[in-house]
Amino acid sequence: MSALSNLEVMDLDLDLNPDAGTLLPYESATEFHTAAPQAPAPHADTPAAHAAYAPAPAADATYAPPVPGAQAHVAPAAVPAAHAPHAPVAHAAAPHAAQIAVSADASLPVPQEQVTVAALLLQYDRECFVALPVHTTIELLDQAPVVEVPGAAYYCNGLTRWRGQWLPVLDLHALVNAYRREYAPKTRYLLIVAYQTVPRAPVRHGAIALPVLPGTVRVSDSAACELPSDGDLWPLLASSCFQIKGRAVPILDTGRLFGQYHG
Amino acid sequence: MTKALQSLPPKLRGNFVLLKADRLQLLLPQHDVGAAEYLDTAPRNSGQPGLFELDSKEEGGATRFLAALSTQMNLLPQYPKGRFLLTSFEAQGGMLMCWNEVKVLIDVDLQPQRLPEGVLSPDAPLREYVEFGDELAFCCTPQRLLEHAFAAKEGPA
Repeated sequence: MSALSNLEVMDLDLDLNPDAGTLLPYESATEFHTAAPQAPAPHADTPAAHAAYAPAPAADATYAPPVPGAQAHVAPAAVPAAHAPHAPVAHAAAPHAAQIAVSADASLPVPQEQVTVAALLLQYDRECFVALPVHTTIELLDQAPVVEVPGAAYYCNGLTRWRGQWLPVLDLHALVNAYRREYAPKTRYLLIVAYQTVPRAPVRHGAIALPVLPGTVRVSDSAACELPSDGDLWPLLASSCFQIKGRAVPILDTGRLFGQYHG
Repeated sequence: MTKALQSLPPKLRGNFVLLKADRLQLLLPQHDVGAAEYLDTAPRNSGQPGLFELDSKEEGGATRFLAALSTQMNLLPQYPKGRFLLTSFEAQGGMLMCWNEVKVLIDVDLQPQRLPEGVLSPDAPLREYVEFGDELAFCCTPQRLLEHAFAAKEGPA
């Protein structure tokens, strides 16, 4: 199972303007890269294909955790003011960053010449992480209002309004653990992601509720591992998995995450 | 474009009632909802969780039962503040529900949207919503509303 190929070769055929769409809202230590490929991938499973999606060479394969006081921003073009009634993340200090135990020195054992790609690392519970391919992530919202939906799935926090659409908001902790905590920590951030339920279907969007800011990680195939055995849902949600500092980090397939009911 | 339009639910035309209970907004056909009335006396606990009692307006009339919904459309154990408007659902035995706000929408033409399938359980009481500016209201019927509210009340929780 290739971690890289599942990060890169998704069925999403996003038609996003690189200047306005597939952006990621960090800078400096937590820099994100636009994920639009610079050139068509010649062969899906070759390093060249993976590299096409990795705009920056991975000089040191490291996870860059959000640091206290880190400034996050969203490129203005991504959020036209007319469509952003709630402010996107704007100079938001990262809370609980110290709780992310995967530190910057947790370098992946990746040789210099080996291709790595960036993934977005999401913490949904203490010491629990999942990853997303960067090209599926669109925008990070800070404290966006969520409207509850009566009778919705237990892992659905409700709907949030984004660019004229009402998007479902998923609680990863509730989904993975199959129950909703009575006193769940406040999920301050909403990560807007794109998904397709089948290839060539229209791109849809959903939101993932996060208690802390996401970080970035660079992943290589050498870090691939089996899915965690702590949940029955992983095979239904994840397309692959990699290991970082001894922890298995499933790579979520956003189409599977939002496209079907997981009750 | 045509395909997208075809996938939308049919339009809602006619008279509807918009019922607001805190952040919950429901849209029901007007013919399913009885005339609104003001609550002029404090309701009493009935002894049954989530149900409150009101004296009949007519002398010697039967006691009426009243329920208050949460934003999750479940019955609230305590009568909430600010719910001074009552509507009845005649087809469901005259059960009263209390609301913060009741609006009658006359001869409207509304385009409902489907809720995302991935977050709806098979027995979800709500499947569609209508946008009102930056807010939304869920399309419902008295039957589904009461079934959901009382099913939750009778559940293991």
